[in-house]
Amino acid sequence: MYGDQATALVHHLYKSSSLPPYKEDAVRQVVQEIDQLYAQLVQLLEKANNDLSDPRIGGTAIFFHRVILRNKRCVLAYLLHRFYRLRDSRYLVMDDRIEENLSASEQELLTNYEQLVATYSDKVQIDISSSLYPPRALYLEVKVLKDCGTIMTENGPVHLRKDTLHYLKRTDIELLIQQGYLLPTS
Amino acid sequence: MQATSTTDTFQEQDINYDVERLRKWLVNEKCCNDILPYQEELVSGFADLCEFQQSLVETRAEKDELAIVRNLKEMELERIRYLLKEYLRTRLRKIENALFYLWRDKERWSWLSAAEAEYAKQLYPLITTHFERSFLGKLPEKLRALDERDGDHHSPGNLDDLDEFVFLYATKEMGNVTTDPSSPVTSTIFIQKGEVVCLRYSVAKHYLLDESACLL
Amino acid sequence: MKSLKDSQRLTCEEVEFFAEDELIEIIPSVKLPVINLITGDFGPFEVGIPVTVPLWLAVSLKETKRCRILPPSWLTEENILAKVEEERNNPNSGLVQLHRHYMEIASKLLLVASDDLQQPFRIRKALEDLLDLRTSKLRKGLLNVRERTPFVKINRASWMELNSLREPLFEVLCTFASLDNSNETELTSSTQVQSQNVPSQEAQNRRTLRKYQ
Repeated sequence: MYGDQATALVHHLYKSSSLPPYKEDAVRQVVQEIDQLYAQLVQLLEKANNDLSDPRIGGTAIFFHRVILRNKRCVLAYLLHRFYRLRDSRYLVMDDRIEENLSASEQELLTNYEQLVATYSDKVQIDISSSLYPPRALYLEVKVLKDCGTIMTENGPVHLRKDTLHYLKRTDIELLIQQGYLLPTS
Repeated sequence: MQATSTTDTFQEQDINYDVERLRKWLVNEKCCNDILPYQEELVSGFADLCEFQQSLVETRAEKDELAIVRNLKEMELERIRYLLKEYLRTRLRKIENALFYLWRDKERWSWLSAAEAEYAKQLYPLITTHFERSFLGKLPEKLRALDERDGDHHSPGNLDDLDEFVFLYATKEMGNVTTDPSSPVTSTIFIQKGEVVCLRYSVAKHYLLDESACLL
Repeated sequence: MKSLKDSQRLTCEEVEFFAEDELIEIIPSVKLPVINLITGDFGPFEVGIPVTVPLWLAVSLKETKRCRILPPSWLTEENILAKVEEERNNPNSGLVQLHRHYMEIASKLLLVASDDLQQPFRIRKALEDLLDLRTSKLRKGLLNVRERTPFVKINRASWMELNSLREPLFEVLCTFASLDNSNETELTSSTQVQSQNVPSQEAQNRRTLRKYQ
């Protein structure tokens, strides 16, 4: 039925709680459906000589028009909500797979978006990308999940080797936790 | 709500109540979908205070300030920075959610900070370009407009429900409040200081702005 | 649509974090100078002399064995059991007045300063009873919402209790409101149909379809 493809796109995203792979083919199919509806609509109006006094012609034309709008609305909602999920994923432990699920256009959007957030942070002189959760203790114990070399702390350099435990200042390692290198033990 | 706090038995404390105000505005933002007026003074005031305190902590560290005192100061800095950052983040998030409506709404637009307005202005073309690249640009030319206003079409995104329910905490006596302006039957309640009432945001808004109440 | 991190909502962690700003008394076991914080000046800390500080600061000092915490007066088995009784004896009236962060403060102290509490185990038990009673009262209140209502007063619930009531209560209220609204819209649209001009439909279609011509 008309509009099914577009509705399925929205459902597909709604059912998932993360960011599933971008449905390039499905979007293309919706574009095709719109093309087809558009051609039919133009043809219908031409045939009727743009005379809409016959309610059957008017009704059919309006129906096609509405399906086109609905298709557009669904795809735009799909794109916009993917952007929201992408934005939210920045605040989570980063999952490498998310990058693979993006379309080329989304990759570009993400790059520009991060730039924009950085510009904003500069302007207000507050780095809004850190301190994402209510602070608890100043120090915390973490387990090293992936080797991440040596970091500098105010008490000197600390070597973070896989499977070792460390007691470190939270602000020094927040980014590493976010990137999934370190895991808080409690 | 304020309850049997034992505060009155404490000795007089020289407390900076602006911290509480910053927290209050953060909670107000978190508890409704609307974007409230930006609290310029609070934000820039605390940003300066944090920077000043940070520099004190750093210079004194070289001298003989006790490590524990220093740690406590740093802990407090972290706590206040969290309030500040979360306040700004919550607002940006709401701006993103309402992006396609915001610029049409003069009042709300005027409630943004200069940096937020700039942010919204620059984000708009980023998103619309993405829409064009991914979808709109592939449509027949006459169908490429982002925002078709005829029929039942809406702008993308939604201005989240502005008439949601909220928890309102009366910091002053609010008197008789009309709770359901849309209903033909007028219903009012008397709200005393310290009471918590669950009601519509549209009713609460006025009292948030004049600070006689806050959200919880 | 559900977000990965619904950062726009107030989380339990945040309510807990706010509770740590509540003031509490401690008895220092070390001497410390006045600490000039952004929130205010605290101290001086003299051994054995009570001083008032924010809870987070008390906890930090306690964790490093630099103080004893003086529990708030309501945090004794006796006082909490009295509240339990009061709650139990008034099953149909509202909640009993408590500190707005009673649970968070009590949990924190039970966790880090149980040696400063009298019979912490019994306090914990009494608190659990209290929480159970209050939760079931709030749940009962929720079931009492049976029609569209523009407001509900919820006095004396703690902040944490409010926060967990938020979603279920708003959902119930919205459901009743939308049931009511749908009736209204049905009424208005049927009256509209009667008064609507039939010829204008064609003009409207013409306008809508202009771009396809």
